Amino acid sequence: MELQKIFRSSYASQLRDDVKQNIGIERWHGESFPFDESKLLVMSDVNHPDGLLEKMDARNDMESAIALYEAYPNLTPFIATYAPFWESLAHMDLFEYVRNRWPKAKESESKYVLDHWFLSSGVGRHALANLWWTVRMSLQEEESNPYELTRVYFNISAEIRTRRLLVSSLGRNRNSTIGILKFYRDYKELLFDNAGTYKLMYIMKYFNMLGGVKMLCYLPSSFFYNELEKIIDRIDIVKGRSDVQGRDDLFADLEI
Amino acid sequence: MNINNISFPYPVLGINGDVLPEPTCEVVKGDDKESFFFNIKLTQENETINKLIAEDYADIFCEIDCPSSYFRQCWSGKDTSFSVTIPKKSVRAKIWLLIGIVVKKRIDDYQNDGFHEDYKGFSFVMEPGDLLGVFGQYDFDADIKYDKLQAVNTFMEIRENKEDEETRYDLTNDKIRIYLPTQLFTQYQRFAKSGFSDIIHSSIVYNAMLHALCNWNEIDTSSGSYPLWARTIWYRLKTEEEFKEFGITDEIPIQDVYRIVQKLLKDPYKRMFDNICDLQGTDSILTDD
Repeated sequence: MELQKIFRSSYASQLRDDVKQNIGIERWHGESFPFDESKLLVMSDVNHPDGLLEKMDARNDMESAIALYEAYPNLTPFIATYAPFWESLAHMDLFEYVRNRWPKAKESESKYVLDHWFLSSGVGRHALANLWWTVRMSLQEEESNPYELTRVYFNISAEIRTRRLLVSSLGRNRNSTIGILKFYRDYKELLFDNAGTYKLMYIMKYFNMLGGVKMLCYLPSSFFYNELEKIIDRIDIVKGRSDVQGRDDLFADLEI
Repeated sequence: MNINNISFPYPVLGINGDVLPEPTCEVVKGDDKESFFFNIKLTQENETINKLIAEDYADIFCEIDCPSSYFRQCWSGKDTSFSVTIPKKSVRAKIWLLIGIVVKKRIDDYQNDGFHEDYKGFSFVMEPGDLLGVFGQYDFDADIKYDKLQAVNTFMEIRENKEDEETRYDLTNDKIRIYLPTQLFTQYQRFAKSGFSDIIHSSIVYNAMLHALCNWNEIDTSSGSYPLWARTIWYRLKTEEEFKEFGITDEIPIQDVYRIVQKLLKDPYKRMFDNICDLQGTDSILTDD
């Protein structure tokens, strides 16, 4: 099998600088990206998958995420957060997908390109890294339907998934993510309503406060599920941002 | 978990003398091509807590957290001497280790003869995940090349400025970047390979370093993800003996910047004059006449 090629880090960095300085920005508006073939490296331990682009669907994040994860199932944390890796995929192998998923590069500020083609704003904003990490944190390999919770994760609004939960300390803890997603699976009516965004903000704030005195990293996913069941009435009360930020009574027994 | 500035609602061993005797912790770091190793040796003589560990009401734990690579692990066990291995392929930038004792099973009536007298007579309900003790919090930077700290090319690079005729500095990347206009850059490439490196250090590199340290206040050193050049310099300033006289805590004293830069670059003026002497084939260019 062919090995994956990526940009040299100096080339990726040069492209990033070009976008920041608006140099040659029209390169991101075309059908394909004119990259410099002499600036590529071959990765020794990552295979290049066949036919991935055809499986990526700009209208379906979840299916694209699963295809991407299955194409690169064994990335180490180092590679899975390595900017030149994701930036290379976004400019070479999957440029067409990224351009279709994020089609406003031409009429937007350069930050739009930096956010979705580069890792400048972290994995949560990157067109591909956010998909891969969403699967990674929700996958249950031992279950008959390993992507059951991935589906639940993608049902949460993209904004709150990519900008808040995925990139938070809580979201980087697999046990907490699994526990929270199982709760979402079982209490859909409670959580997927008009106040869903604020309910998740409340849940995150609740666990962040609890994490001030508890070793959350030590606790199993069932702890997070059970804890949420204990505060189900409070979650139901949350209807807006002011409930998350101004209602001390919703956090009263945390004793912090 | 960051244990700084937290007041716990119950006494915690290792925090403010809440529980005695105080524990100690020795962490020895090592690495090979594949992994970082931490050999951890704890001394803990509080009998109540030792009994809770032995009866499986509590565990010793070590949380490893690398926010930059999403790597997060929690080792737990009963031994006071243990090793933690972190694959190098799993981490980058700042890594945090928190070592302590955590409640495993609910304790309805936690009392301890070692409680500070403020807590004497009180008992506490402890739930799984609650902290019973903290040995310490440690951090290290997986990116810093500890064996090449003195090498200028670990924190600085010279590049071509294709846009205009000015020399520019960029402090936002892993290395301090000096952008030279095309003509100067071409000359630099020729001279850098011809034994002029000490002269370049005392001029171009010295000025860039001075600029970088004078703008240090733009860098947030409290996060683990600020540029690698700054993390490397900061590590040197905090650990090397010759910088202790500057009493650096959170900021670099602006009045001492020129002296700090001279120490970081190992007396660049002297090296420049030695370089010129070498090139002239003389012992010294300073003469009496």
